[in-house]
Amino acid sequence: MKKYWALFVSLFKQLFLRSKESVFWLAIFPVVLFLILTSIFGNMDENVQFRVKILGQSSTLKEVLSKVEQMDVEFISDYSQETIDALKKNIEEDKLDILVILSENFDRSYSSALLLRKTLLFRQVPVELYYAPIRQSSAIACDVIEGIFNSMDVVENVEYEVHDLSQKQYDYNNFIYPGVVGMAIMSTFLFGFMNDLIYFRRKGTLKKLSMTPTKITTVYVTAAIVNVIIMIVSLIVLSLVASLLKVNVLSYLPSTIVHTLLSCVVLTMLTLAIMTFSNNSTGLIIFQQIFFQLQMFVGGFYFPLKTLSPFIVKLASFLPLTYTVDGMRAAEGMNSLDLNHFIVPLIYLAVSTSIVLLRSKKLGVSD
Amino acid sequence: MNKNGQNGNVTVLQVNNIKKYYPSIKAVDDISFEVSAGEIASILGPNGAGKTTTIEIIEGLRTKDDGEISYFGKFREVNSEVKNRVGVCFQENSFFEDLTVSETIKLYKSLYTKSLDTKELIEIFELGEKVKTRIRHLSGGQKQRLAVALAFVNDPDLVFLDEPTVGLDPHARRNLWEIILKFKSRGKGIVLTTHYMDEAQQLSDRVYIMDHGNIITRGSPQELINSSGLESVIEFPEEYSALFEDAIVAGEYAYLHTRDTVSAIRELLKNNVTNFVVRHPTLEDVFLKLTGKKID
Repeated sequence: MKKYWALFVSLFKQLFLRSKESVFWLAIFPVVLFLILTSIFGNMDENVQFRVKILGQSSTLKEVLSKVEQMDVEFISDYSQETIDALKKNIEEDKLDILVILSENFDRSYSSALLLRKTLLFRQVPVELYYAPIRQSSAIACDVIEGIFNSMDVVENVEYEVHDLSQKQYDYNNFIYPGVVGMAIMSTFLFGFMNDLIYFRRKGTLKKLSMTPTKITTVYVTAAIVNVIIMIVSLIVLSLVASLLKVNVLSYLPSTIVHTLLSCVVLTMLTLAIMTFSNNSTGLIIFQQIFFQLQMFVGGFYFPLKTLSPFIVKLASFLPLTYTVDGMRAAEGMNSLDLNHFIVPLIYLAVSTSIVLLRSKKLGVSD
Repeated sequence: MNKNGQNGNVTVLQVNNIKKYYPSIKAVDDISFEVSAGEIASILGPNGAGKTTTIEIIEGLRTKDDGEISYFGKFREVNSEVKNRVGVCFQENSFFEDLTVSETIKLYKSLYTKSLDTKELIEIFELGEKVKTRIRHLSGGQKQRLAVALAFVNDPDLVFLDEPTVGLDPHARRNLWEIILKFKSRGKGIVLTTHYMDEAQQLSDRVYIMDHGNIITRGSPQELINSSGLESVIEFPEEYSALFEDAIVAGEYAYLHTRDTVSAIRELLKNNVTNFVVRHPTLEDVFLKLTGKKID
């Protein structure tokens, strides 16, 4: 037990406490990445055009709205339920900021209301507004539309019905948190664990350790445990920062623990399996880069998979960390995949473990 | 099997007819030798002679195609019991660069079932001033001393030292020789590979000269010198090497191994060669005569 502890303490000092690079890449980088992504994408609504669709026709509104530069307005005449449902879904999916449903013959009803107000024949003109106030762009669009109606002196004449279509999944801070956790896991294993092993193997440290009675697999396992601890520290820091940005960290906690631990085991075995095929660092670095880039850009880390092309979604479904990130998002109802989130990672684990067991001699330092 | 070495000590390593063939080369071709407790055995040879392959086969880092190796008279393979009793200093050593000297020694101590006292080890290898220094801040010589210290950390019965004094200044080299001799006197069997002939001559009880995967000669340094038939060696500039049929050119100098020193000097003087040196033969001359190469 003493030797395992000594090895653990030594590796912990070497790989984390005294490694400035490691502190940056494994602890600071995920937080910086999170802050960058949330600051770029979390508040982007302020400078975009408001996407407005108006069901019904009104020359009065058309004229007024044409003068508001930031409004991208489209009038639609199809009052079918399918159209209305599709437009509502567009709001939920952040493809539309506000839907205004006017009564049929709005202009005539509005004129009548103006003329007949204060008479017994007066009837308010019903207008329905659908928007997602959780999104800044949608909330502002609603304020603008209400302001326009107010300026038209319709307050007394128009009866608003406002519907909140806010969905949790499109709060970007909440959405991106599992993606950054996925990045932290990937950094830990591809750029932490794998690089450590490549370096120790190339420099001869493993060769020296292999001449002691300690098994070389003990060194690998200890290095993996150290990296997992580094990752946990990194995730704690990340979660603290995320909670300051109102990410629902507690709601993510159970799924984060389950999916993170599973992916740690999967990536440890995958790393060892890959290392049985290549003794040269160039080959391993090529694998690292391909896997990292693929997983990062097509794995749904930064954007919802369902908004990407079917080919990309198909490709992402073959990558293990796609399920880690999507599985975590399921806790907040923000997942894109309706598949089981454990099957693919477990297949990776089974195949990698089999390779490691069959080719375990290749993990040694002898010929 | 003979359990005792030449000086009556227990044989700690017995190598019998080991072979390692690669498609294009016989790296190790039927090599046998033994090392006794309290003995320093040196393996010498030019680059590519098969020294490192031989040592790595014995250390268990490479597989052998044929032959037998016996460790401490009872083990046939490098298991954890053998590793507990063996120390190794590789030609190129790598440590955890961000650990201090004392942390590194403590780590390696903890990996073995028995070990030397840390203070004693630090004192012997004169690392006292550097115990709290991180390895990345040590000089090449200090790192080398630490590497050798780690080879002895488990108080081993058999030690492999591959070029242990490379990178050390002459003073530090001699200090390390004294340390190695001290451990020898404690009954350690030591296998030394070196390209410093003076080192081999000073330290070795037995020398094995390898070339092309074979041991071409063996014996104590004095035995090798005596059996070489060399009486004296004359060193002179290589441009005059044509004066003697059997002069060996190595670098800027030619070397003539001869029993008839007077005639050779006369021949040189007759050709106005005055910048020559006559000396007793050394192990280096034996090596040069046998392999035709001078170790750089």
